Amino acid sequence: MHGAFQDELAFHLTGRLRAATEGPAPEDGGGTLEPIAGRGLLPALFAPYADLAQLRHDFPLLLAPGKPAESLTAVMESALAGRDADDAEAASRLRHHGLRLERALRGLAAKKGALPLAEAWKEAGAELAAADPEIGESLNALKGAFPAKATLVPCDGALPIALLKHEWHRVQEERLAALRGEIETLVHGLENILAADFITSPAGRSPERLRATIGEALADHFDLAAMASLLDRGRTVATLQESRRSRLQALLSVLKGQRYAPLPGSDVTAHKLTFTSARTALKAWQERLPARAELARTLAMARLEVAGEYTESRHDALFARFDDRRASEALEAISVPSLVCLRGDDLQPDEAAAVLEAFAAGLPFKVLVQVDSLFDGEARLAPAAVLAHALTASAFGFADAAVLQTTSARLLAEIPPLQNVLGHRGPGLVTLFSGAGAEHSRIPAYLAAAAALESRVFPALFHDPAGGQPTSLAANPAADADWPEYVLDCEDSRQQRQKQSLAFTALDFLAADPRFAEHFALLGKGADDSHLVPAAEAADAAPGAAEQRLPFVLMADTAGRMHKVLADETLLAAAKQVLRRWRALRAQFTLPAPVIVEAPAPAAPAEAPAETPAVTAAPVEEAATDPDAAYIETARCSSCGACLLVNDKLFVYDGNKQAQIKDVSLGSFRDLVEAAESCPLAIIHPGKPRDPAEEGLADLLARAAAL
Amino acid sequence: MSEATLCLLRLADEQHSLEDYQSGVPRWCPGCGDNAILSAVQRLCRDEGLRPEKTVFISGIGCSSRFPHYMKTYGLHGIHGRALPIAEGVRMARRDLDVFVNTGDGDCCSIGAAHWIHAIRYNMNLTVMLHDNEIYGLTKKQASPTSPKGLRSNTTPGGAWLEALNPVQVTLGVQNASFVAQVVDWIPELLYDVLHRAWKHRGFSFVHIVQRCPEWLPNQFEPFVRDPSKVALVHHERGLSISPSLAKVYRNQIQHDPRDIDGARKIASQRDPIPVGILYHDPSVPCYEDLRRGNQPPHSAALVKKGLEKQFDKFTIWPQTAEAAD
Repeated sequence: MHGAFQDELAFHLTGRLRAATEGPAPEDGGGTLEPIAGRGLLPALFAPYADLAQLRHDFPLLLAPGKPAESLTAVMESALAGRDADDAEAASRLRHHGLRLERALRGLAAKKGALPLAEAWKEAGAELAAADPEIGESLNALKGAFPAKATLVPCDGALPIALLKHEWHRVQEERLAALRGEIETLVHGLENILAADFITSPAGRSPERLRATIGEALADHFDLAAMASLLDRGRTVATLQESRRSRLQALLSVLKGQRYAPLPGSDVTAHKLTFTSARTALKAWQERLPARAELARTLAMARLEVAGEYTESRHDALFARFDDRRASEALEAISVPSLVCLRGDDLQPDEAAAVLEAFAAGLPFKVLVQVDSLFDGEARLAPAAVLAHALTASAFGFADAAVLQTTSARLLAEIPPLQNVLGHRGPGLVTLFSGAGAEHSRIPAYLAAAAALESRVFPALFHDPAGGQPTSLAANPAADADWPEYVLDCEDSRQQRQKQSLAFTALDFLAADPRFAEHFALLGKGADDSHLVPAAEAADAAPGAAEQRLPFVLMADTAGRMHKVLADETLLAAAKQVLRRWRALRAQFTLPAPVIVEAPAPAAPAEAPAETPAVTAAPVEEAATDPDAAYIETARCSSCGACLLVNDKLFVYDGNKQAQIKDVSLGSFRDLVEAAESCPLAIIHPGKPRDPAEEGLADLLARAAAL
Repeated sequence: MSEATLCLLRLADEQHSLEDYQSGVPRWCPGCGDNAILSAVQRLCRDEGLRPEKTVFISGIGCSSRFPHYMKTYGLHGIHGRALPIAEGVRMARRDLDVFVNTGDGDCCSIGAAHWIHAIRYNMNLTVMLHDNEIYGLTKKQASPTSPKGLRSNTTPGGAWLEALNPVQVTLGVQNASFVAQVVDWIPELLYDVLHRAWKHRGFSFVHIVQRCPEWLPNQFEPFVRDPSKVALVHHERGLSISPSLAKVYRNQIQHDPRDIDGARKIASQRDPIPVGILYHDPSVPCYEDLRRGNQPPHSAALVKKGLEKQFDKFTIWPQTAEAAD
């Protein structure tokens, strides 16, 4: 027994198996340690996912222009949904055929990589139809539910950039449409001003112009020269000042020539906005600054021109001083971000420095850092992974940067956060592990990426400064534990069903990497495993305890048999480092327990507001103090103009176009009486006559009395 | 561009006087209620500083529909019954404009009735004034849908056969009604207040204005004008509040919450005394232009061109080839 333990401990500490020259294997334990290379062993928790093409999962994705990315499974489900209403048998057949097609498409995508859906559909359909002629009808019935121009994208190394560009174009299109719409409206407005001016100009009213307006067919019926001279005679509209015309033309030329959101039908090429180098992107950004400032200035001026609010005396001087250093607020309106995709070895230190420079300046750069390999051959973090981690950590230092870290296995679920990052006004960083490194060639990239997330080797996190939410680790499985645990169904040596709870640790992730095969040793049948502890326990052990607690991971061979595999100290150290990093991350971003604040006691009910009467009883101002003076109840005047017809000097309108008596000396008592008689509202009161000698006074007094 | 920059660049506030909105001399008869509506609207434009080039009045046919001629703003004297669809088109294309509609009882309730019903349902942001003098005035006294039963006119010499249509009740009966008010032209203060509230409401603001026609129906509203007790002021803290001077004259008052549509229908059904004020107001009804347009930019030059070309293509006569001509 002792000899076997010594052997295991020696392997754990040195990573070397007993050489044949060291003598025979100890006899007391009966078992030996054997190399695992060439046995096709994979972590036991991978066993249920041996053939991903048979399993419905998030991938492949369907990317259709202008639509959000969807999984093939989801599209198929929605195509099949609601078809069983009339004929259950037909619906069941359709479902059966649909699922077979889905499986075939998934297999094709896994084999060939991204390909157009139409092509894959044709190939898979032909293959299925050869075996089952009836399937063609079902496939035709399903075809309409699938987007026509979609691409089928499996979870491989090309997925992250393809998906990010797809989502970026959607966000970008929306953003540019708003800018383009405004520019189009302004161009329209400016052109209208010029066109209106032209129409009223002598050239616009010339016989030639009139001929062109009427059209050749009818032009001979009119005397266009006479019409032109008539029009010219009646010309009263002032023409545009030359300074304004040239300003309008200059504005139009900038708006039509700008390359941020080229107008439809123009031959201007849009700015290149996607880059594979941050340094190039930064350079392009700086080169475009003057043009951007020019556009911002033009937009501001054009808005004023179209609104008719541009005054040269006021605005000329203001806009002359408008430049790219000062007009940061106006520039922000034309915030057209650049997308930088850096993959694996593209990410050199100078590129990382350029990314940081852009972030520090708050530029709206969206940067994707795709890492394909996390560890080098010595189980240390690979240089690209180190830089990716460093960039993520630094991005938190710039308060306005949005950060998403995830793996490609989770990409479909991460589309909403991804859109937040892409739509965020400031910088955005997406660091992503693809699982497509050469070392993971034995397993699908999807599985490698999922394993990195599960094992905390590449944890997910999301930080959105605009959302007002704290940084979230919620996308990690069992985010409040050291490792996620799963229950594995298996059978024991007596063919009895067993349920085994297993944690998925960083050692499991490393065990799937064939480069580290020599760091693992298989325990032969009947070997002593009394000193072995699961990797999760060993990784948590205090330093120095290694001698009594050797870490093992459970691995399964191609036949599905499970084996305990001993790991050496080098890999255990790597796993411990992963755990330390994960714990530090949790400590950094997990919110303290919420403090429950007692609800304040309900305040004493405020005194019910005294019912305010709709009508206050303020005394009404009397219209006239002298009972003998003529007056009008001006406030009641309905502006009908009847009194003004009687005498428009005596009666005038006030600022509200209501009648008042300007001066009684400007009219006679007769005027007052006649106006009072003609007033439909009877609000004119003639009072007493001022001139006792006025003609027909007796009659007038009688008429006034009747009022 | 940020708000701050906009403020910086904006000119000093322009001050308009009433005369700035006046165009020409109204040809309405002396004593016509249209004059009162015109001056109330001009006051509204002045007080709210509506820019003449950003304001548009659309009308159909009739005395009331001469309104746009007398406003120095943009305007369109349209065709009979079609003021509302034209206004809807203007509103759809130019959401930056304040759009007013002036229509009469013949224009709106007769030939334009279908447009009226659907305009209520569309609830586009328009301020609609229905000048209701209960008669076709421009064509010299023919019965209109709102003429009371028994009214003698050139088309009904023996008296109108049918009960009059009540425009307020109709409006309150259509889905999506969001602002319904009734006012009389001879109380200028109230007319102004109601129009002001109607303009402020975002949606289809329907103001039924009972209006005198001194030429053809000089006595129709005489009793109501002379006797303040034949007018009932509808007030509420959510609706209109009444000034002391008005309250002194018009003692007949009804307290009514404008959110209460059943109450509004009940009030609308009464004809004597005439209820005046805001009968119904629901600011939560969505506007059609908002539902349809979303965040789309306004019409672009390319879109206008495309639309025009499409229309022109309908009338294009393609030159015949020599062979076909033979």
